[in-house]
Amino acid sequence: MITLEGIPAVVIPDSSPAETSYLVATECPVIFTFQKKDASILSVTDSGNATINHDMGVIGVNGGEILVYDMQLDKMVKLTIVSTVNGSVTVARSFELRLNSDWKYIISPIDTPNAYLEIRLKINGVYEETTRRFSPSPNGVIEADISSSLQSKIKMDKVGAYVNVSDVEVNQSGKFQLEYRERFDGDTNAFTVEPHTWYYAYAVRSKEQGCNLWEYWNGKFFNLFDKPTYWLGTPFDVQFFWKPTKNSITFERKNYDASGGLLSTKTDVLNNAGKGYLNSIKIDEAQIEAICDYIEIKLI
Amino acid sequence: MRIAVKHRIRIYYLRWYYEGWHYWAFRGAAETLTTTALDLKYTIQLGDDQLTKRQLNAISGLLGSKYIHLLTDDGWKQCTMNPTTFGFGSSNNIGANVTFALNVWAKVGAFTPLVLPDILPPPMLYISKYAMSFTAKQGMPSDVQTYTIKGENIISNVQINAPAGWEISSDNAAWVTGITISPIGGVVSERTIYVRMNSATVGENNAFIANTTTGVNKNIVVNGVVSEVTIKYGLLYNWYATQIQSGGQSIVNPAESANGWKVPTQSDRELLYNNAGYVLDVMNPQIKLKEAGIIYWNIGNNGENTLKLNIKGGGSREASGFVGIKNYHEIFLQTETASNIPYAMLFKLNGGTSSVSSSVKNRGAGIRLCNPTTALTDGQVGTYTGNDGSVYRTICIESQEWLADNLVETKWSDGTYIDGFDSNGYYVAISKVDWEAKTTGAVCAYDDDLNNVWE
Repeated sequence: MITLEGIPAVVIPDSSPAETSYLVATECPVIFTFQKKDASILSVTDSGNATINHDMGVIGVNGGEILVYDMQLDKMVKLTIVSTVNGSVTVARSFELRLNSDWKYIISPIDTPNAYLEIRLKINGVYEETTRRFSPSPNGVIEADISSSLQSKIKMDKVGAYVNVSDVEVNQSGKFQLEYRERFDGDTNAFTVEPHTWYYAYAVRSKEQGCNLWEYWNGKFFNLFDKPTYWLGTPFDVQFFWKPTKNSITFERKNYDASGGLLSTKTDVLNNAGKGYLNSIKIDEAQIEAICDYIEIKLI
Repeated sequence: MRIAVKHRIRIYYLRWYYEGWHYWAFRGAAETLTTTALDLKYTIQLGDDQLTKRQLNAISGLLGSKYIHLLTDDGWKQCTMNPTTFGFGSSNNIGANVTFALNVWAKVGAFTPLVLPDILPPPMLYISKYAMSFTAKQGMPSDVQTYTIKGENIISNVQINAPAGWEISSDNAAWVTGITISPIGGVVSERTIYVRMNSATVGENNAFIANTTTGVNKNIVVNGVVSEVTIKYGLLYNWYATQIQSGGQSIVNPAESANGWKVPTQSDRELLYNNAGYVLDVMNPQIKLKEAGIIYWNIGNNGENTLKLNIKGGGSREASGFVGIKNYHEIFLQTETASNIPYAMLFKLNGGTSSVSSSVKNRGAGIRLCNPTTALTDGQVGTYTGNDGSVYRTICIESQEWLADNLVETKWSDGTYIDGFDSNGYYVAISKVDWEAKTTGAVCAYDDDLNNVWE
């Protein structure tokens, strides 16, 4: 059995009520973590051999082998079944066998031969024609990186052409859902739907940073510069991610002169077709005064 | 989020070709388009603190004479700068607003977008020589030298200018100080330019001939030496030359005539002889008036030249031809007898005959001008300047000032050449038949050899 153990969601720090970001960067590993384990070990008793009590029915066959994860050694231990009954399995006791409480779960190759994980993605409402396959590590862990599937949806062409007030960057952002199932010889498993809708944006993050773009979930401008510069005469816009839980956004721009005097204010209600996407907002050069020194922008 | 705003600074780039490309970038503070009948003028105002007045003057002079290119959004385009439109917003040397206009060649009304012609390759003038040397006598044209000129990518007329004391010609016939050549399709086909020196000023005559068109200027250095004219026997004139011509021309320089100079009359001759102590109209030795020695007279010359009139044995031209050189000489007076026979002074090898002659009008004889109203006193010397710029030495004998050499005048008082010289100032020999048929002023050299005229 393969279970989903970890997702790349981030609870936004200091958010109240707690808010979770499901926005990920495409140019970074986007990893969903799974674990293959056929039974969890409840206890181990000395019966001359070793009797393992677990949470499943009959595991393996007499004379067959099971793999037991020893957390202390952090490795799988191969054991030979002496007898197996509903809820427990007895394995042969050898001289070297260390019997302790660090045995955590069982993998039974006999019960799930050639097991692997199959993932199916639904990107922007459409299932991918091909599924992705991931094999477990020796201890049963599967780190499924689906970023390459997202990267295939990215196009370098910006939608925003510095003409409209705002444009939805459908070439560089979107949403997806994930479904998964365990496959082995003779299985009949159906896909399990991961319950969240995920969002992706064309951005680069390191693995250490994590793929989640949680800083930008609440409308922070999609920009690494502390103080960006608008060189008049050159194309210029700013981008932000419109989180799906916000229905309406107004863009406000205020122009100031060098001494901080307010020169002009302009507000634009943005097109809500951009919800769940990156949006580009044009700042029109024609609306910038000759003595304008800086602009303050914010989303309301 | 705060966004810093950086405003554009409009930078203009100009370049021009003068012995290599030169580039100039400047900040434009404002610019306007105005239109004239034929083209657009794009007026660019420089920003503050960009040029000093000295720099501006240097650039305006340079660019005003060059064919320049302006960098536009569509690449380099050609235009010219109108230097007269340079101006200051104030009198400050630094920091004043400076404006100038670019004459941008475009169709009228083609303001948006600004349509400029594509640039042409740099104009080129090819000159076959860069220096020439000449020598000439004062007031006389030198020998002719030539150079060739041709041009490519020429967008305006080619102007060739000769400095003072120099003349140029496109056909070796008509001599001028300026020649304008119009290009055809941007090309000036190769042609020969004739050059000569013609200066009345003695000494070195160094200058250059400028060959100029828009965007290129080629100078030819011309070095010349003008030597002083030393008169030998002078020119021989017919009697008609002593008279005012039908067109009003005179052989006497009007400026000098105003000071009293004239062709001597019989009375002037009589006064000269009287001053010399000779008895009129009788045989006398003339020894005080003639050049001494046997350079200009044959052996037997009794001249002593005590009055420094320097009469030389220049002979004469008769119906039969040139005769009597170093043996005698005759000098015309303007006076004629009642029967229209001209008077002349006759000088012989050793005197012994009449000092006055009844001459003939078609004889070729010398001329000595005199000034009976001179301010000089006896023995003083002075100068007389002829119509062609030749300067003569003079001598005052008692109250009369006389030329100390025979006349070598080539021009009339109106600047035209006397018959015997063509319109370009070159000696043209007159045949015996033609000479005899003359009824107007004419001139010749003994034996048609100018070596008998000047040393």
